[in-house]
Order: sequence, then C-alpha cells, then structure tokens
Amino acid sequence: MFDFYATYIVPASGLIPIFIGLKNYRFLPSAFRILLGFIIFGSVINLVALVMLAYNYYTVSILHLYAMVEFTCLTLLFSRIFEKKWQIPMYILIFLFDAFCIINYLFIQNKIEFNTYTRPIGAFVVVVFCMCYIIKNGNEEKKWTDDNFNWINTGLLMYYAVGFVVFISFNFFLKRSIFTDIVWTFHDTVLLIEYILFAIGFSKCRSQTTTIPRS
Amino acid sequence: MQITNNDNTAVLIILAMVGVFILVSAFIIYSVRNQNRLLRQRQEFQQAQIAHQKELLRATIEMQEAERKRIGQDLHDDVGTTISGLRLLIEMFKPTGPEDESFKEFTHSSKSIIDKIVKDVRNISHNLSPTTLRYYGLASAIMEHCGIINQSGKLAITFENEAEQELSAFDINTATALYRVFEELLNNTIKHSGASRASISIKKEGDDILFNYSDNGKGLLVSPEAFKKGMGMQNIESRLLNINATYVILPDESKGFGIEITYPILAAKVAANG
Repeated sequence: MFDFYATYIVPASGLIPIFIGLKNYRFLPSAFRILLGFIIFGSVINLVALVMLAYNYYTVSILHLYAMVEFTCLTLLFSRIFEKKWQIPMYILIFLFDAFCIINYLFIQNKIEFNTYTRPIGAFVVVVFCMCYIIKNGNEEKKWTDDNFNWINTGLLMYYAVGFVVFISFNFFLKRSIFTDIVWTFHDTVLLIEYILFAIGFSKCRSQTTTIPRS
Repeated sequence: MQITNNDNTAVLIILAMVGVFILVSAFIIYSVRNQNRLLRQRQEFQQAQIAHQKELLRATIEMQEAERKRIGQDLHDDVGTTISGLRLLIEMFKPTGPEDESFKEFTHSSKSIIDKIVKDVRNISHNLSPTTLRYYGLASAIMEHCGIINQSGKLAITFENEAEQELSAFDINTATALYRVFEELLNNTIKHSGASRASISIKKEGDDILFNYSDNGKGLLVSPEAFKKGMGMQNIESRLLNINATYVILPDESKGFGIEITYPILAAKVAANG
C-alpha cells in the first residue's frame, strides 16, 4: 500500500497542477509559467527515476541535477515576484548554488550518497523567500484567498520547511524500516498538499483575468 | 521488533517534521487571519469615513434648504407683505386734487413703505453675502456682526484680534467659511445657551492661526460626540473641513461652551495659489 502511494499516487498527483496550469496557460503570469515548467520537469524526472529503478540503476545522480533545476526555477520564480532590484542578486545566487551543486556532485557526495549538503541549503533559501513574501504582503488590502500567489507560496513554504528536515537526513533512510516508511509517507503527503495548493493557485489565475469581448 | 539507532534517528526526524509542519501551518493560519483582520478593519474605517462624509453632505444640503426657506420667508413676510400693503394703498386712494391733504399723506406713506422695502431687501442681501467681508475682510465682518448683536442687548461680545495681517491675506472662500462658522456659533449661543457674555479671540501661533470662541452659557448638555452630530456642528465641521482647518471642543471645566479652531497658514497659501 505504502509503495503504491509513494511510487504512483503522489507522483501522479503532480498531473493535477500540470493539467490546470496548461488549461489556464494563457492567463498565467511569467512566475507561474516557470513553476509549471518546474512541475513538469519534476514529473518527468520522477518517471525517469522509476524507469531507472526498474532497470536497477542508481538514481542519485538524477537528484543532483534535480536540486540544481529546482533551485534555479524557484529562485527565478521569486525574482519575478519580488522587486526588480533583487533580480541581479538572485541570479548571482542561482549561479553560486549551481556551482556548489556541481562541486558537490563531482568531488564531495559523488557516489551513492544523497545530496544532503546542497538540497537543504536550497530548501532553506526557498523558505526564506516564502517568508519574505508573507511579510511583504502582510499589509495588502485584499483578501488572502484572492491573491493567487498566496496559494503557491503556502505550498512551497509547507513543502520546503518540512523538506528541509527530510533533505538533511536523506542518508539515514538508506535502510528501509517502518519508521523510514512513516517519514516518506509524511513527506509524500506534504508533497501532495503542495500540488493541490499549486492547482488552486493556477485555477485562480483564470478568475482574476478580465476578458474584453470582441465587438 | 528490534529498535536500532537508525530507527531512533528516524523517530526524531519524524517528530521534527511534524513539529515544523505544525509551526508552518500555525504561521500561515496566523498570517491569513491577520491579513483578513487588517482588511476588515480598513473596510470598516473606510465605511465609517464614507458615512461621516454622507452626514456632512446631508448637513450641507439641509443647511442650504434651511437658508432657502429663510430667504423665502423673509421675502414673503417682509417684502411681499409690504408690497401688498402698498398695492392696496394705491388701489384705495382716490385723490380729489394735488392740494388734497390725503394726497400728501398718501405720498408720505408710499415713500416710507418703499424705504422699508429697500431696507428689508438690503438686510436680506446683507445676510446672504456680507458686504463688509468682501470689502474690508474677515476681522471687520466679525466685528460688525458682533456690533449688531451687542446693540441688540441680547449678548455682550468681546473681540480680540492679534493676527490682523494674516487675516487680511485670507482669500474670500476661507474668510466666508470662517465668518459663517462664527455666525453659527453666535447663533447657537443666542438660541440655546442662555449666555450673557461671549468672547472671540484670534491669534497666531507658529504656522497656525488659532480662533478661540467661548461663552458663559449652560455649556454642553450632551456628550461632545453627540453634540458633534447636531446639524449646526456638522455645518461648522463641513465648512472647516473644506478649508483644511481643525477644531477642538474645549473641556467643560467652568460654566459655558468653548471651541478652538486651528487654521494652518500653509493651507491658506496653497488655497491662494490655486
């Protein structure tokens, strides 16, 4: 049951925001399009990992690549949300993080280890971005639910705050037990919640767009 | 089942994950509630402001209506009646010759009635737009108004002006608004307070001009909040709001009513420059 949930149900739930995102694609702002691209990329990576596992290949190297793309996409997303003056520092941050990921993959955690040095740092930075957004928008004069990015931000904050703890301790879970199953189930459930929140955020984009009828 | 060190670590990690999840959820719920509460407060504040503006508008309209009614009544009671009397007199008069005694009396009566009409019309016109205010400024107009009331013996008003120069720089709109405010205050004192004395003082303090008004009447019989809702006070407030002036009803420490109006000179300059 657990295997089915973790291997099929949760990765498949990624299709919900993808479907809604693609349906509303022309209404999506650039930040949301970056997120949609990232979710599609994550689903493809999941699929590739499943195939590799079926053929008994190590999937760790994929995770190194995934961490780079994940951080790049999410930082680009927030660079579109925050003021323009933060764009250059954020691009520099992406460059530094990606360089660190490559060094980590080539020289530090290069064999069968999970990338427990890079991914928690990435998760931590994303949590900081999410908190900054909440602080920045705390005094907005509109209903919380009417801001479609609030849903996305909540999904990211929940997943990456919990994920931070999981990413640090990846290498403890190499041996399977009932407890590691609980950890992964919890992680996957938060991921599922994140996908649902993304889907709500994407669906809100349509309702906030006014279409001018052709005369 | 044997619990290993790895399992212990896993339990700690589970606890940490659950803890972080609860913390983050609580933080998000708090921020949602906080943002919605702020929004509600702002909406309530805006609604209160709109309601207040509506009240002021209503008071202004009512005041205009009252003014029209008064003018109509004055024209009807004074000018109308007198002209009707004159018409009747002309109709009734049957002269026998130019030397007729009653002809002289008729001429005399007609002249006095016409004089009365001219005087009444002048009074009505003066009430509508005080000539003194237009030609001699706010201080003279207030002084003249106080003089008329003093002469009537209803109230003894003292007037002190220490800001003659600043007052003479006021544009006509500001001067009219302040004149009407004092007219309303004096009217209130005569009608409701039972006061025998009132005083008006004007002085400059920093970048402001302070207008003080007080009387020795009954004072406020209701709370200042309830008093502000009265039509007279709303009329005063809307006039002061229009010229960016503020007012404070002075605490009722001794017997009587007191109000302090602050007019920023900068606002006068901005108004003057358009």
